[in-house]
Amino acid sequence: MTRRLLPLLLLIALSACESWQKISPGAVKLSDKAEVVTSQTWSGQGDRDGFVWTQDGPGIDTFFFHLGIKDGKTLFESQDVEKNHNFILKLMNRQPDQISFRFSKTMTEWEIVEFFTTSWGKLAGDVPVKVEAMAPSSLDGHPGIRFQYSYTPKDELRRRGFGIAAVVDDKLYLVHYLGSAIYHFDKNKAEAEKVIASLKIKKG
Amino acid sequence: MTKPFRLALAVLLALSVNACATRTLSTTDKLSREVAQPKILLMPADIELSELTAGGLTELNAEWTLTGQRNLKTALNDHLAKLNARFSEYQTLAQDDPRHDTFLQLQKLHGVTGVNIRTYAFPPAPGLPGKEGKFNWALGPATSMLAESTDAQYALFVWLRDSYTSSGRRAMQIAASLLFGVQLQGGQQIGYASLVDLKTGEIVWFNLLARESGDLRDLASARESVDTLLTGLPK
Repeated sequence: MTRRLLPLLLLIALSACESWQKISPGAVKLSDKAEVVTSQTWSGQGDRDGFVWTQDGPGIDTFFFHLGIKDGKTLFESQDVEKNHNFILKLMNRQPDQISFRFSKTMTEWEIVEFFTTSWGKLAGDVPVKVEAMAPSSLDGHPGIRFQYSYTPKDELRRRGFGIAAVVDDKLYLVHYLGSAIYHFDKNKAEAEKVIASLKIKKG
Repeated sequence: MTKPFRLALAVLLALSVNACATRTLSTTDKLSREVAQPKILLMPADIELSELTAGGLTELNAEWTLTGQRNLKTALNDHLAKLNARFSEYQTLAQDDPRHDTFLQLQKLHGVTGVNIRTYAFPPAPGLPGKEGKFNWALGPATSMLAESTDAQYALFVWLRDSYTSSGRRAMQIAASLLFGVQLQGGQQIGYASLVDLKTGEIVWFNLLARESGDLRDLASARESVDTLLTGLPK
């Protein structure tokens, strides 16, 4: 199979074994500390990295909820190269050849966006993610940053996305939606805006 | 479950070769008759021919791909002519034409959408419950631009990946079979064809081809692949 589709298959693989659940219109409890409201039907699943919703498949449209990333953690657990470093190499005192990009509670808003674009670009097959716009915003009243981005992975289908990030109780809350630039981004953007605006974060 | 295992399972799901050569999903078995004989726009096929190495990786072969493209184009034209379908071939636009990029992106979207349909819409793959059992994938409103410039009502998109077992892989297959009783995967022909309603952008018919035979480098074999791939194409 073509290597160009590998990043797409990787994205699908992220959600391969957790079964998808139907997300019906109404209030949706994502975790003990987060809840949103949607007016559409989605397929969704959650794991240690957060929650993913999609309508036509994770390679086409993806709504991602990262809820409470702690200081010093990577956006995806699989990107923690030090933690995932081969234990035999660790015994041999060999260091990994990369350094993880980790969230820090002291990051500026620009640094948070850079943390996201670098991490997401790595997941998408080591491709650059371009920030198209940034503006001050908020998540459930907590001051944060809104950003819009685009990238073209190796499958050559351009993706566009937008998200809002905020630090609450020293933890990062970052919700973003992306879809094919030619169709799915516009198809679900208005609904994604409403879902993000409905997010309620329980502090403590 | 470990990430490598999940990856392997997902790739297997995505690439699994079913006992049946083709499987179809559709929302219609007839073309809409708003005009006496609807016209189908034949989009350039997205195909790649490659060699399966001893280690199980595929290596793209540009020469084979060019030959395959020529054979597939001839076979698709002949098949549609045989069906007495009213059709025309998509004429590639100049790169500075503003529609060029849009049409290219539509083809890429078809490729990615096909992977998702293949992964989620065909049992026993775990589907997307939000779809509520409906087959409702689309390429979106940009398809209407194809209708405007060609007076076609439908477009036929084809995506094919053909891989051939290398001599090294064949030796590995024999060794694995003799030593461990294991059958290693050989070359595969995987592809799909979609008929898209240009007014709505919806995929109204989708046919999946997945098998361990076929050779697009040979015109006769390419004709057989196209006949199989387009089985049940709405008329």
